[in-house]
Amino acid sequence: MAENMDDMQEIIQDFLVEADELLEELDEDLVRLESESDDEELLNKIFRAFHTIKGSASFLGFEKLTELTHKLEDVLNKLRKFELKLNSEMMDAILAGVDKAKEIIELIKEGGDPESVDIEENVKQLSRFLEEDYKEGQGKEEPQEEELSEEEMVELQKEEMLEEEALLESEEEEKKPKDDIDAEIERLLKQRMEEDKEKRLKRREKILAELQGKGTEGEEKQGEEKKEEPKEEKKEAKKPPIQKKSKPVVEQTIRVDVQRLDDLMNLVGELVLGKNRLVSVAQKAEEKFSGDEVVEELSEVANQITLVTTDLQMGVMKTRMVQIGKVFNKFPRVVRDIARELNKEVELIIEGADTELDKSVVEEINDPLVHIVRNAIDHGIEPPEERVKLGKPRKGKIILSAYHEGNYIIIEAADDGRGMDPEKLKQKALEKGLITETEARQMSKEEAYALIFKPGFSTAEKVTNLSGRGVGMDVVKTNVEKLNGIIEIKSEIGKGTKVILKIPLTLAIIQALLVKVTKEYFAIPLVSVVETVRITKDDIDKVENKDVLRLRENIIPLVYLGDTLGMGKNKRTLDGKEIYVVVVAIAEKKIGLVVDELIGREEIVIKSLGNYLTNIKGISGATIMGDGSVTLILDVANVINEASIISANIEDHLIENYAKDVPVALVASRDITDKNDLIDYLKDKGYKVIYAHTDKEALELACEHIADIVFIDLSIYINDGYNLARSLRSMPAYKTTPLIAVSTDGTYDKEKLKESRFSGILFVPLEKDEVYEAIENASKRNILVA
Amino acid sequence: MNGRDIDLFDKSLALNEEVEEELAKKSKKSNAIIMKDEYEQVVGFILHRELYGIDILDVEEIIKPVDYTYVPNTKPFVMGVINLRGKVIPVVDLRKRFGFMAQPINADSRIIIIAHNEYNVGFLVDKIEKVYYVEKKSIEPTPPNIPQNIEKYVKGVGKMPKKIITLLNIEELLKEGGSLVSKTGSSMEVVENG
Repeated sequence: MAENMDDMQEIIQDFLVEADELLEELDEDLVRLESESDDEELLNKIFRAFHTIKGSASFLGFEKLTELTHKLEDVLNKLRKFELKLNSEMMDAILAGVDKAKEIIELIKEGGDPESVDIEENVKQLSRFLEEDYKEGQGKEEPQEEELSEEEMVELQKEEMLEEEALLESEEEEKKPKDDIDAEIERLLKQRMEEDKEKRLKRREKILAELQGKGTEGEEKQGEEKKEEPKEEKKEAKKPPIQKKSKPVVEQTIRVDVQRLDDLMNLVGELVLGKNRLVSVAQKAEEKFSGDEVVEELSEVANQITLVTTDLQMGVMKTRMVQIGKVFNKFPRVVRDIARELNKEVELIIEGADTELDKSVVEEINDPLVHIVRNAIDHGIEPPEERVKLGKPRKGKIILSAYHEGNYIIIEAADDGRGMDPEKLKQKALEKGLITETEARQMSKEEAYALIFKPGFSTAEKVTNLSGRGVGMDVVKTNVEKLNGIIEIKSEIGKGTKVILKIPLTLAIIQALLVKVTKEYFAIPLVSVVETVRITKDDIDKVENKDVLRLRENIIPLVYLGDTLGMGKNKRTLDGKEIYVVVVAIAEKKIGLVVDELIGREEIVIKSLGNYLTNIKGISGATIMGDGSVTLILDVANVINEASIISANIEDHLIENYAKDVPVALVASRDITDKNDLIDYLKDKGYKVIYAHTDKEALELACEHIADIVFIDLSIYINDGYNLARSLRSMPAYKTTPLIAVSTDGTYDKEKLKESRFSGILFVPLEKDEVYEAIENASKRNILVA
Repeated sequence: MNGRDIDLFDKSLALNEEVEEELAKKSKKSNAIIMKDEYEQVVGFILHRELYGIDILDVEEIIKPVDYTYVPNTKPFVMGVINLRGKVIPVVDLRKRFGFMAQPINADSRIIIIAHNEYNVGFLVDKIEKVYYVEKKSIEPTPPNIPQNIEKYVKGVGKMPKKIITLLNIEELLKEGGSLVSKTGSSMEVVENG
């Protein structure tokens, strides 16, 4: 029996999913019906939707839901037979009924008592339309309750039962057939059939009784019923194509657990990493043994794997894709409700509803859009009279559109309302104390528009219950930030406002810009990168002692990325003649991040840092590069916020501003006995000696002090001395600095020495004269190079 | 101090083997379940010249130090993160964690990869010894001579023949996490509050 309960639970689950889908479609269809109230096809579709829900609800014993949908079905039945004419009062009642049905469904989902919902008001409202005296000007008198023809009813029921059976069968296949379940289902189905029959009989009796009481009218009606029969046959003839339309959907799609798709996506992520690695190995092999047959084969394989992986990634991504229509379709209803409440007339135009994006993104995008549209209707669109006075069409227009642009989806919400006045916005923000006078003066138009995203900001003269409380747009900002998206606002006074959201298609695999800061590499999600520019120190301006960059007409705050991450202290890595700036934007904010080096663009798979390192400031996750190293992904929103707090300036990081009185020598070596001799020799020669045990430490120190000469133990931990030399050479301050290798065991790799651009080599034990000679030679050679 | 430690250590190694032999004999005679019940298997390692142990069930593997990536805004003892077969794992310098003098990585340094509950963390230690069988009834509560700053992370002290091993409480060690609590208060929090 317990298993049966489980089965019932599953049937209920399926019912809930189905009901959700139907109700969602209903919203859309009903709003469409308002303008196309004589579309028979549409009326039939809506009728069937109510009928289906009613059927399942009664089967599962949800009495209130059955009663409600039954009433809705009855009203629709009258409408589809054109015995009633749709008016806005009726529409409101139907929509209210749908809302109530949704409420009940939600309650069932949450495990509440679906019978506790009060539907009396709705039923009363709906019943009014079914009353005989409610049909002004429609002439004909119809039966109180027009039943479906018996045939049609049976047809519908059969169809449903078949579906249900199919559903149950498929469940059984999974669970291995069990006779008692079968029996139970059959019993339930039979019971339901009987119940329905009984209900039908009762209703028929009731109608008959009423008809008899009304005498002549009844005769008329009978005549009408006869007349209507052929009509219904026609309808039945029309039915098959509809069935055809709905059946393939059942056969061609399967419902998949989202978790499974997520797992699949993770695996593909691993595969992408593996592919990146394979490609980098193949490249290395090619450099080393170019022309070798096996290497060529390897490259070929790597290329093929790259292609297949890309296709596979696209394929898996596509399975997670849903049309944005899923979100957009709610909006006719939303717009209608808001417009009615505010006594405004608004027409909604939806474009690009078939644009696809990742399921997880779709879930996050709904709320921001609702707020944006609300805001547009409440603050943007003028009341009809005002619009007429202004010479605009009476009906305001809101256009929701979506389209793809590279790896992003662009969602636009445009209205033709009054537009936003930047001066007014600034004034308001000043009054609320959100900004200072100076800030207001320096603000660009775009920055002023962005003020609406500040918590506590509202331009509404009076607070309505829809908007004006100054929380809505804040939600927009938070959600879009969460998705690594960008918000842009365009507005023209008197013409309207356009809010543009640029959001990455997927959250798991992203394009990123790799940059280097001090000795570390970071990945900046490309969606946040606006552009990269190369400047010199003379291009940096100051505003209130903060660095800014004048870029075309914009003034952008400038910060050293290392400072925003708390790792910039004492680091001198910037060459004043060549400063790289990555202009990033999140939501409405824009800022220039100064980095040491731009590495390039790469496709990265986002990985979490795990439970031990949670909520790290400035870091949103990590990724694994082709060479197997870990690179951290910047949390751009966080970095931008941090940037407004820090006080360090760019010039603190310029190499040329490093002051020293004596030459500096950096010794990077394992703990070897000879190191002390070396340090002594160097001190005798007048050097200030700094000492590092590991390559990491050496690089760190190299960023803090600009050494004039570097001694590198070839066997230094963690990576060897060759790698350390290569890393040093890539830093602007060490392009020509003498680097002297120290071999502790007499071994060395000549090729690698050359490749890492060492200036000389010494062997342990170190002799004073040899050391001095090496210094001299290395310095000379560098003069030659220069 | 130094000399005595090493002296003790060598002897204990031999003694430990004796214990193992005895265990092997035991397990041949009776069944292995008794052995499991009476002994705790711990991975022994050296940190600042002392022997410590971590329950073997918490140890996923032991690796040589590999290149790691520094993570900003973490506590000073977090060295960074490493890539372990596609997994990103934070590495903690256990010397710094316990407030001992830092020691540069050398040929003996190892990283013990811990998998405890939902945590996956690496501990950098001076040297790995071996797996010890510590008799459960020999484990005593933390003696008072354990430095205060690490007392919290010690589960107990196992007495083996002529040698003691300090058993670490992994749960307690991992609980605090390695993220630096921001002084300024992250902007995200502000938004959430507002």
